[in-house]
Amino acid sequence: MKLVRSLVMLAMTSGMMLAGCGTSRDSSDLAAPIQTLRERFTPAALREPSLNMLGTNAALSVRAKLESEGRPTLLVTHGTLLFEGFMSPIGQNGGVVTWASPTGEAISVRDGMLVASRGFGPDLMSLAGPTMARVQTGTGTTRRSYYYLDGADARRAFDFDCTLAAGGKGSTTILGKTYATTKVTESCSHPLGSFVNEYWFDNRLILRQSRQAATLGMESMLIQRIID
Amino acid sequence: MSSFLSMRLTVMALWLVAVLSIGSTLPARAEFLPTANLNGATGLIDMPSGESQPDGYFGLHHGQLAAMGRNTLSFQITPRLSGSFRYMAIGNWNRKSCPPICDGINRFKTYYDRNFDVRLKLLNEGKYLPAVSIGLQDFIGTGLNMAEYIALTKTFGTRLKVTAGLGFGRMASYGAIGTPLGDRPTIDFGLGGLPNIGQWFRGQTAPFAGVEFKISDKVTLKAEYSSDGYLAEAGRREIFTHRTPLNFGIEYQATKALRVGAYSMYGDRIGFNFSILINPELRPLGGVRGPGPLPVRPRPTIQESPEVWTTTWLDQPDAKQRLLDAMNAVLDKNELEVEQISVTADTAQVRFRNVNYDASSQAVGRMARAMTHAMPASIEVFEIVPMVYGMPAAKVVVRRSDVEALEFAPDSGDAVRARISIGEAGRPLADRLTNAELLPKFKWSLVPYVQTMLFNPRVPIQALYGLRLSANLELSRGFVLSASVNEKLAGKIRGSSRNRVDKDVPAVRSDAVVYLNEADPALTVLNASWYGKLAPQVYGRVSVGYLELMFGGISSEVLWKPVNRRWAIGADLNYVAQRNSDGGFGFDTYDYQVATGFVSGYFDLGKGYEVQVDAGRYLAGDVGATFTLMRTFANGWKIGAFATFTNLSAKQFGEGSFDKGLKFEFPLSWFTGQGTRTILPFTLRPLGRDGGARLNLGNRLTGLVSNYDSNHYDRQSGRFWK
Repeated sequence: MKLVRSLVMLAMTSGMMLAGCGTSRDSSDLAAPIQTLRERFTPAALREPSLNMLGTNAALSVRAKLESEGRPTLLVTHGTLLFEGFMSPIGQNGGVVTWASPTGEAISVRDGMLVASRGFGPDLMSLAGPTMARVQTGTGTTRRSYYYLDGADARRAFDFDCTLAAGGKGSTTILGKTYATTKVTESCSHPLGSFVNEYWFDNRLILRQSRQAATLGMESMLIQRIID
Repeated sequence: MSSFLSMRLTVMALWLVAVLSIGSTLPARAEFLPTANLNGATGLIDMPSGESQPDGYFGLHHGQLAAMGRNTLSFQITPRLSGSFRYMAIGNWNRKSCPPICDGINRFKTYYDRNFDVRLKLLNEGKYLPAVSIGLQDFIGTGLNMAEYIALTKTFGTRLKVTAGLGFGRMASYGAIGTPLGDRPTIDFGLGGLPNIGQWFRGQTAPFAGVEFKISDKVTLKAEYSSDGYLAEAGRREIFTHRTPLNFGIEYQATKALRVGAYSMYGDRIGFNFSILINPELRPLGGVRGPGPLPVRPRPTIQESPEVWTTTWLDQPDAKQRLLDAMNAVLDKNELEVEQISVTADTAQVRFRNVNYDASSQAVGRMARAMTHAMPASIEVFEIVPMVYGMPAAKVVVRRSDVEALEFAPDSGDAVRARISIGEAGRPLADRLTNAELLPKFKWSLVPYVQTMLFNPRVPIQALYGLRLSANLELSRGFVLSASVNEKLAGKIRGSSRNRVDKDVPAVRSDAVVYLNEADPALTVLNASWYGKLAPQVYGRVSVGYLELMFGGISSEVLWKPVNRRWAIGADLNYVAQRNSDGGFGFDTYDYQVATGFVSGYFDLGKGYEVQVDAGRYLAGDVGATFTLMRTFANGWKIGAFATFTNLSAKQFGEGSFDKGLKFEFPLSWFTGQGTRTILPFTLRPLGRDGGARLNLGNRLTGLVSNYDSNHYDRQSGRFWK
């Protein structure tokens, strides 16, 4: 019995060093959640400097590496949710392209217009809004309906009335490369709050950069088109 | 050890961060919300008000006045009805009486008391009418704090609230004005645990009143005239001095969940209040986070690619194996596992196991998207069947063209639900292929555990800490071997070890402390179980072996649960023997065997209220019924209460008279924002006795299959697209 006890203690003590491990994901088990928590609270994004803070040479070096990989690439940043990462296309349904990061965060856009997000937690489940061609006009009004799930997973919808405005011409630097751009803003309001979407189009009318509301009450998502 | 500690600290810190940040994603609100008093009841400082908390809110409160601490759990059960459980610790209890009198209630240096409160809001506040509530405080048992009240509260403008009320019992112990409803009979609480109905709203009554003035969104001033004279505490026990009935203080709303207050109390002491109010329906970190799904892969039109729409693939001898391989290639086996595939030219049925998702709709949605990648274009109908230990729990049917068309449609969650049908699983399609790689399946885990023992009069909160090694081997479909061993690392349960009240009542639970202390290592579970679908809508289970720490034997269960109904009926029959308290293999110490079993009814009342009634024979051989009412939230929170009435007399049962308590289930995903099926269950019993005791089984059928019925699916149907 002493030997058995010693072996059990040895196994248990070894286990303590791992503190929550195993293959079970049953409803009574804590091993998987503990592992997930450990992973979550040491994300690479928190340890590395922001890509938008890199100097020109370093940024161009990153851009060159991405170009060598030959895939269309977005750089997506969500300040509130501490996310910054490159995304590549993983699927297309009709005119909507879904882009995903290697860690599973994803956004879906129609002509650059954000219509859904996944993997962020408080996700934008779906969106009814204007077309990008409508936004490019930079004038008039639009209407947006945002659909979310609340904490009880019940559907929540918020309707916004928006006003488009031309923001003028300028230049925008994205990961070391500067583009001549035309800016459009879309100011949206609701009794609970308001936000402003911003769009920067390059000379070919490609949406080069945008700040679009994803989760109401949080910072807008910055979407930058790096590799076409 | 450091790893263990750091993990625990991380979890605790997370919980704290979660709690303190609750509401951060809510829209800003500047309403003058109701707050809690020192008793954890909606109110002023020590007195109640006429208001109630928002529906479903769950509160944790600590109020401190002199050496008197009050720890309260409160829950707004319905929009009008709320309940509280309070555990009071009154320090310096016998300072003035012992010596010379040190027996009976005076033997305690600190006196601990358990209180149950209920309150009902009779009237919502209107333009001219105040909010009106009546309440019963400490209405069961010894009644040390027993009081009844009616309170009225009116808001004036956006910053001022005025409350007035009448108190009875303890709340009429200062400034009484008469006995309008007759004399209050002398209390005879016997063994406690029973409502003292004859006392309610009788005897002296006294007025109380107060005001609340909000000077900013964060800071509120309160003042009240209290009708509680603290006759014992400020009288013969001299715990503090009651100099005035006037209390006043300031409260600070630190976050939307946390509120703190400090008060001048009765002209003698500073009182403090810490109050955390949680809305279970709001996850503190927003939605559940985790890798996004595969997007839908739409088919080309038949005009564009007629060749992919042919059904010649059906003629290939390994067609199903190819489809199975394709499904396995696109699924993460840590999330979903295919158990069986069957197909026709236009329909595919996938029977699968949900490994990871707490919401069945999310599991179904992910499976549907995976099928758009793996299934030939000719297949238009997806039949998705969640399986639990080989038992098909439901069948969700969705058209592929709907999945393709609605992925990015506005309000896509409601849109797809309208086109889904959920029903009895039925049989697989004619020709099926089982995933040969699925079984045998071995799972294990090594996790820390905490076992608590509450309400010992000398040490009210005690805990054991250790590690739990669990393993689970599913040898074939529905046949499972399970084992679990606890190794204690720290802690010892002190105080009375054997709580047996009546020698004629077997010690089926009253020796629980002996087991906790002596079983080390403790073989808690070592058994074989078989699960199967006995008929449409009928599930079965048989378990043999060491079923739980205190009992081993054979346990069988049948459950009739239609997928689209709000009710289920079950029955279990068990023959068990009491195990030795050393946690080993023996059964000889107690030499006690018993046949125990129940007929159970489960009723979903709608709006999140669920009732369960279990009638039958309990472990000690007593016969009776247990009534359980739970409020369930779509995200997995469950809060409720139960009471058991058997043919044991109150004297045979002991203090408390009958078994009762509160039940909680907290989904870990709510706290962490991570997708996980882990549930943290907690049962709070004021007293643990032998009467009304049941086997502690972790694999009851309702817990396994309920998540897949249409009611549960609908509560979270929006997660289809998560």
